[in-house]
Amino acid sequence: MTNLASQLRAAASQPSAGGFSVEQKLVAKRRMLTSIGADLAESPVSLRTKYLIWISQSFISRPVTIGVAGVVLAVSGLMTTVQAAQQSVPGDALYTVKLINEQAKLQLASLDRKAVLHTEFASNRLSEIAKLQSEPQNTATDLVTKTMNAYTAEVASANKNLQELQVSGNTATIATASQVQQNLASLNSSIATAVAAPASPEESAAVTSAQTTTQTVQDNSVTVAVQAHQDITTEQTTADLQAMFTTQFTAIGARKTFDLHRIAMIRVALTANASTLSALTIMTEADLARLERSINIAVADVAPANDQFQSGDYRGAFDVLKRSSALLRGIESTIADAETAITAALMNAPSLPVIESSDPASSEKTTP
Amino acid sequence: MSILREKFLAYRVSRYKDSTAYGEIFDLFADRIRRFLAFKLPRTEDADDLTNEVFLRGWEYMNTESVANLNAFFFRIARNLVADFYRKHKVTEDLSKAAHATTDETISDTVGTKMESDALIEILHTIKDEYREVLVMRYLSEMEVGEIASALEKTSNAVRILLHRAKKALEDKLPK
Repeated sequence: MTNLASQLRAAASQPSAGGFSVEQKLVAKRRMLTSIGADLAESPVSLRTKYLIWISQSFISRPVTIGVAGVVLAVSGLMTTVQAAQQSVPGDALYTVKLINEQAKLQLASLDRKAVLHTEFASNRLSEIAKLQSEPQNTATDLVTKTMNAYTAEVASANKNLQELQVSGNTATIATASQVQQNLASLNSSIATAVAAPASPEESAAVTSAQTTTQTVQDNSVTVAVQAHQDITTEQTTADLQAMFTTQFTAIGARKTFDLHRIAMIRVALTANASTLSALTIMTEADLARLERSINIAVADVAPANDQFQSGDYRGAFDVLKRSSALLRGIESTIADAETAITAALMNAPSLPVIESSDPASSEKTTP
Repeated sequence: MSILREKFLAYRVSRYKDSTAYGEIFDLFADRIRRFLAFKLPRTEDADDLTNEVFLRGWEYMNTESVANLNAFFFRIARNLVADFYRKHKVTEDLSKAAHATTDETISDTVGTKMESDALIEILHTIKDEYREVLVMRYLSEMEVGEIASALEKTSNAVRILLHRAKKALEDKLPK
């Protein structure tokens, strides 16, 4: 066999084997080129250009197009997953994606942004807790405790970031502290509503711990801001501190107005549905009047605090705001209890009362 | 031969009507096509004419369409042209005999090995077309099995089996 193959190969160069001789091939090529009408003029496009275009079309374009398409698909798929994960609660399959996404955001953020991000994540934890509790089929009760602890950890991290920020002498310290303080203030009043009725001793301990931590960090953010202003007193830092004070100052004013409005609504509800509600003795007119008085007392010192701030006693001014805020929070929880009781009573009542439409709205929203 | 080089040449032809590139393609494939035709056609002149025709048609086609496999492409044209040729000329066995006559004339030197080779080619003419085709492609044109497969539009395995049988058939005809 091999012998046969080599014999055949040896015969290849024979004219009878049908191959071209070198001269024949040249002739045939010239003939072929003539018959295709080849102009032997230099092509206007250089070989190099042709090569590059060819390369780009056949080797770069195809794999890269596929690659780009793949990446786009993967990323869009990922984005969809991430977006879906935003809605997830602890215990969901996608919840890990949500947490990873948060971690990714943190990795990319600067220190001042990190502090604010942590408060935003804390807010996520609170909404998750609210969602968990709205789902009665959710039997894993320790999820609430765990999530509450996660919330506390986020708040603590925000605090840590703030302190690092102050130590580093960052110019954004006061603005960040203000933002953190503001976010925490709204969180502070949401904790109680998120977990209206702690299901276990652990849960209620977690809630207490969360509240304490939030309050501490809130206070601390004020300390950080005042401290940062002391460290670097410039027009800018003073303006930042002033802005922070004004925000809190306005917030307390708004809360006062809102709380008074809520008391007024309760009064209307009590009068309008006297027959239904009188038996429950939720709140008497005297109680309502006392609440109104307490509110006014709570905010009485706020106006002078502004002067105090202007005179340079920043710490003292912030302390006044803090005291007012704590007093208001106590009053607000009493109001919220009354609102919940009234709503519950009216929901069970046979005829739909007039006030029902506006009352639940205010009871759900405890902050202005 | 490099498949990339082939593709680049084909691209230059279809995109730029680059006759230099087509010349290179001719250099790559002309031999095997001519050999294929030479064993199919009665006279060397016919093989030359048809080789020219194959590349002329190839040029026209490639100017408008892109070709994935040049080897298979040229062989397909060649096969079609051979079919056309026999349809037109109504050629029979006689022409095939005539071909041998012409090839005999071209032998100038009578060296022993050449005699042997010519004798072998004579015998090659006596076996089945199908067998001769693969043997010519494999051993005279030095084509790979894959290339033969694409030229004949068969699978590589079918070509291997064909080669095996062809060698056996040729061996049987060889003088013992």
